[in-house]
Amino acid sequence: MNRYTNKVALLTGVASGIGRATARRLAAEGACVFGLDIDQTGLAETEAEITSAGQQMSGRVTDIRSVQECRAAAEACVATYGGIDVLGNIAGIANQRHVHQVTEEDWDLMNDINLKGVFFLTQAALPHIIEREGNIINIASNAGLMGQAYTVPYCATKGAVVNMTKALAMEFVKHPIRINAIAPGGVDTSLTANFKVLEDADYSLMARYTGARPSTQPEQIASLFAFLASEEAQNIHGSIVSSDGGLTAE
Amino acid sequence: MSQATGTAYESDRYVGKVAAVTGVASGMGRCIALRLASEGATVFGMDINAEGLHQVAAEAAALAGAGGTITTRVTDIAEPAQCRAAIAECVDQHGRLDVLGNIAAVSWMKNTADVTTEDWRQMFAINVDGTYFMCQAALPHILASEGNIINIASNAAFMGCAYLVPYCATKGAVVQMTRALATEFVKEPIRINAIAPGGTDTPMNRDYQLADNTDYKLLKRSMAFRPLDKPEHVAALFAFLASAEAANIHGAIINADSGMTAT
Repeated sequence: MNRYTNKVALLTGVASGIGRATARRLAAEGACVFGLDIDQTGLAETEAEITSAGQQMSGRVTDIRSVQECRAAAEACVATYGGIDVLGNIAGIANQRHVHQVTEEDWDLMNDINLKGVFFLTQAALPHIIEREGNIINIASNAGLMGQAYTVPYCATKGAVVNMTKALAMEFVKHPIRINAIAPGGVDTSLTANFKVLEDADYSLMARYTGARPSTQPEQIASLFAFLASEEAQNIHGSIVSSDGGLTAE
Repeated sequence: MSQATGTAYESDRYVGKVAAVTGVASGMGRCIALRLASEGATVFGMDINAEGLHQVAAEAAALAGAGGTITTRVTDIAEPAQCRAAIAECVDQHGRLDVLGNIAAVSWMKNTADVTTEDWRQMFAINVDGTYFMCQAALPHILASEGNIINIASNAAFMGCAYLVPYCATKGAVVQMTRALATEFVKEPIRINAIAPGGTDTPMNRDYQLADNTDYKLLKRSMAFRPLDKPEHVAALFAFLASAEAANIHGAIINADSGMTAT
């Protein structure tokens, strides 16, 4: 499949996990990937892997918590590849805390990365997406659709991403662009590998969001992303597509 | 690639796969059958409309692509015995069943006072009973092939649509049936999902007649900002969702309605 020949994809979080798998997949289908991450080493690894396969990727170290850096990254993408067809807001963080343990710093960090960064990169990219009649995909989470104990700030940011996606979809419904979100379940990435379960967690509360099927592989989210951002999905707009092995069906 | 499937898409994702699809005489069912066949599937197509079935089989014979075929059987899915007989015949003919697509449905607009007992029962018999008994008959074969089921729901399952009360009720039932089946079979290596389209350019949609004395203000949310979707778009999503590319998507209801349910 070469659905992305002559297409430019601006992706965040490409140093690892879903972001890296999505960068690989789109590049393999012909896209020029402009990849962002705060992790310089992982970013360089992704870029080296893709370019050594003869595919197109340019990496830029970016802290999406900074509105200035979001704007500069979108402009750098346009300067490098001539425009933006696809924006993928993939970067995110997660952790487990009891509510009383959450500090103001914890709250601000999670909101700045998972929510503020998504909004301001979207704001910066939108004029270019409109120019190319492109589309935006935000990575939400099943945590945006379920109440999950010990991840209150994460659930709040992902719930916000879900409704931000729908509100953006309505504001731009008369433009020939598409805005959607993917809500993965537990995915086998460094985010979940580093996820420290509380020592005193009540497992009966966590069982409600523990899937019956094995963890999702990031490549499975990448294959959904590659479908959803392609012309094959041209009537899908304002949708939250769950890919969670049945977790939210129950 | 056939014109019926819209965008060119070279794929052989369905070579060696058998797909049983209802409602293939027209609209989405027809496009899905042709799309899967173009990607190599052996399609067992069902409908109550014999003439339409004959036409789609002829179209399939002329398909370029990955060499799939469509065989057909006139089937009234409102009769559970016919659902069972059709699935048995499909497996007899083709030796296996990998994908079940429940597409067939009816819809009309009426004031609640005008809906007869027969109207209500007919709509449930086709949209709900037909979907359920097809799933029940197909499940042993889907389990054997580690295959998957896709039900066509509707965005009417998520919106309260005036003058479409029975239709909304049936599609809400299809959504919850899909999720309940997904949970019952979550430990088995099969997948069960639904697609919730918006207004799509099919004979069902073109044949809508407004209810008597329709209050247009009540139809506000049902009025899309974007043009009617094409059944080929639904077929493209179906072909992705029923393929190995969607291996992690289970119990999902995927809205494909150009933004109608975002609000």
